[in-house]
Amino acid sequence: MKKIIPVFVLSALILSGCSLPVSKYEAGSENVKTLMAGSFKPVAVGEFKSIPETRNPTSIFIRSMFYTSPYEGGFAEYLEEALRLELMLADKYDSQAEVVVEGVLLKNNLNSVHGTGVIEATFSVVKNGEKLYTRTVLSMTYWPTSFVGAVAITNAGEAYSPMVRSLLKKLYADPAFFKALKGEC
Amino acid sequence: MKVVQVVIASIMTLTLLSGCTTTQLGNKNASNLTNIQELVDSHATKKWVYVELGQPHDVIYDEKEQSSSWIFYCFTSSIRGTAFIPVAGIFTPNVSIDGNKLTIFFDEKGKVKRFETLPIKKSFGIVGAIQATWEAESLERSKRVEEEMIYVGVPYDDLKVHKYMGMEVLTDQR
Repeated sequence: MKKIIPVFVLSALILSGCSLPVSKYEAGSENVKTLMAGSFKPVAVGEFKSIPETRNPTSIFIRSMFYTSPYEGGFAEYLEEALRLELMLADKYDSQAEVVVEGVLLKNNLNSVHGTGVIEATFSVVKNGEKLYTRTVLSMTYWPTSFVGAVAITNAGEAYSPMVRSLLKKLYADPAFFKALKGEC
Repeated sequence: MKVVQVVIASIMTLTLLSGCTTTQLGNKNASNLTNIQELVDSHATKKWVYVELGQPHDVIYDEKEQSSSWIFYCFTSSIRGTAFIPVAGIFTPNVSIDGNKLTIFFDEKGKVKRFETLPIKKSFGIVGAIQATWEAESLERSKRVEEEMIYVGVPYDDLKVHKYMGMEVLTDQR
């Protein structure tokens, strides 16, 4: 038994602190179709910030692993890239547009014990410095988890992109957001 | 006493692990055949297939026919408890995969022509999986997918390609 304990301690030391990026964002076809149906001109995507706190860590701890953002910066940049990708695929993105969508990431976490995740962000639409729209959107996700670390870690990493997708879906469901994208209050 | 402790611990671990480690891997959308048929009926573009199904796991170009195809894998992977037995677990076929390989064929204009699905059912050991991954590296799959994503004008995810590296070797679909 005395021999086993140092092996466990060593394994824990080797394994802990390893970091892995979550999968890059996969656009949702429903989301892209919703954007395509919107009668607004292409818009730009501005800065996305993150307010660090316990429910919004810079890297998400799953078992003995840390999940990080695959995009330079962090998870706020993940959200920024997700929005940009869906606008781009819907032919509604123009980096030089007057109407700009900005965001602040407030909550962002995954729990592999319960198989739950939460993400919350405030989105704003700005035109020439004037704020046309602000709304905080929250989305929760559930997935089948496992007590086996390898499975729990994989499943948690796979759950991140759908969680962001559902957050954006909620945002797009707001008619006021589309009105603001047209440059109207 | 030590032997008894080890035996009890091994039995407990195996009981806990057996049959409990099934994971859904690959592209879940690739199993929705109604949706895929719609892509064929509407002669969808490569960009739209990307929107509906995401990044393919492989891309094949047929220069003779001037056509191309995108390959997607969708499968469940189960690990038997015996995989966790030291040494013996490495060599015995205790990892099973069960699913489908979807191939979407495009014409010379890059519009969907037809699709094909092939069932995948196979068991292999950890050594086999490592060998397959090693062999698959030489197939330069990531390079092909990256070039295709640049051509279509959509982002490329290297991690997604490497995740299923070796699938074509394991399923004899090279």
